[in-house]
Amino acid sequence: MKLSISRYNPEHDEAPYLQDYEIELTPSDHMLLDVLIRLKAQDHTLTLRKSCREGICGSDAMNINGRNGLACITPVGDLREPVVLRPLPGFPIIRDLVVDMTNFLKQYHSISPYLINDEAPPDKERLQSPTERDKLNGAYECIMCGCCSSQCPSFWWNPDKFVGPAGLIQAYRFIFDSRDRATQQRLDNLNDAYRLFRCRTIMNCSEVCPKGLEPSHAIEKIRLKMLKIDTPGGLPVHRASSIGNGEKK
Amino acid sequence: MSVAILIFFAALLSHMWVGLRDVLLDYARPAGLRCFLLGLLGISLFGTAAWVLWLLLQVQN
Repeated sequence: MKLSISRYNPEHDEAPYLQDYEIELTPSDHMLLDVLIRLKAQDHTLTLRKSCREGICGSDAMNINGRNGLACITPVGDLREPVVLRPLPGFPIIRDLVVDMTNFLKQYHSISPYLINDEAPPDKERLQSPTERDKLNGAYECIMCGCCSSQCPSFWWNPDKFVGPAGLIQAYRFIFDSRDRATQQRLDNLNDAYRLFRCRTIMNCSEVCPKGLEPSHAIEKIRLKMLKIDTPGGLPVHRASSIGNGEKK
Repeated sequence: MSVAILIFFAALLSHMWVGLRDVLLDYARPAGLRCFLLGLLGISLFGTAAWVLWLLLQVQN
């Protein structure tokens, strides 16, 4: 398999460049991450983040043939060669495929991603009906991998002011949580020209989410909630395409 | 007829304001520059609206 991987070592490189690799695939190479780990044996300087290897931690998010995804759940068989791997676009590059997630996480923290309820805690738990709990479906599953925000042109142009799809889907998760008591403050927090309203419904976020979530739908529901229009049900979750990134022609 | 033209220009100028305002909010990063350009845009559009109104009044007379 032929790969072209973006390399950049700030200690001695002026700018990132693509380095070509070639590796023999073995029967145990099911996912792109398997190939990358074996590639590290060839070139131990290749740097990337990885952890769970099952699509739940979000560490190995990267740009695969132009489309963001998780290397550990991208099947090798469907990739168009040479496989071009770049770090998540729009984020500062620390080294090779590792990016600085500081600003991305700062936007996440800015939406107060925790339950705000000052009422006296009950004996057991704060109750929630199944219907109320269903509203969180399609939002709680977000693994904060960064694929969505990194593929959003609006986030590229204003990463410091626009919260981004990942932050906004988490904002949805708390705005629509029946146990939360700070709904109006959360909505006011997003109600300016930039924080939510830089979303132009480009919908790259929903297209690339490796968990099949739809941040654009969550943003739509927040907009409606700002207008005091309540919509029933939760968010749709679509099965992430089994074709993967960069389908073979 | 004048009313129809007035409504048309009101819609057109509102459309222009919304479109160009969004472009400036996205791409004019320094706050001072952005405010200046938005002000310039607002003044131009108001000026155009005033001109249309004046022209229609001329035609009526």
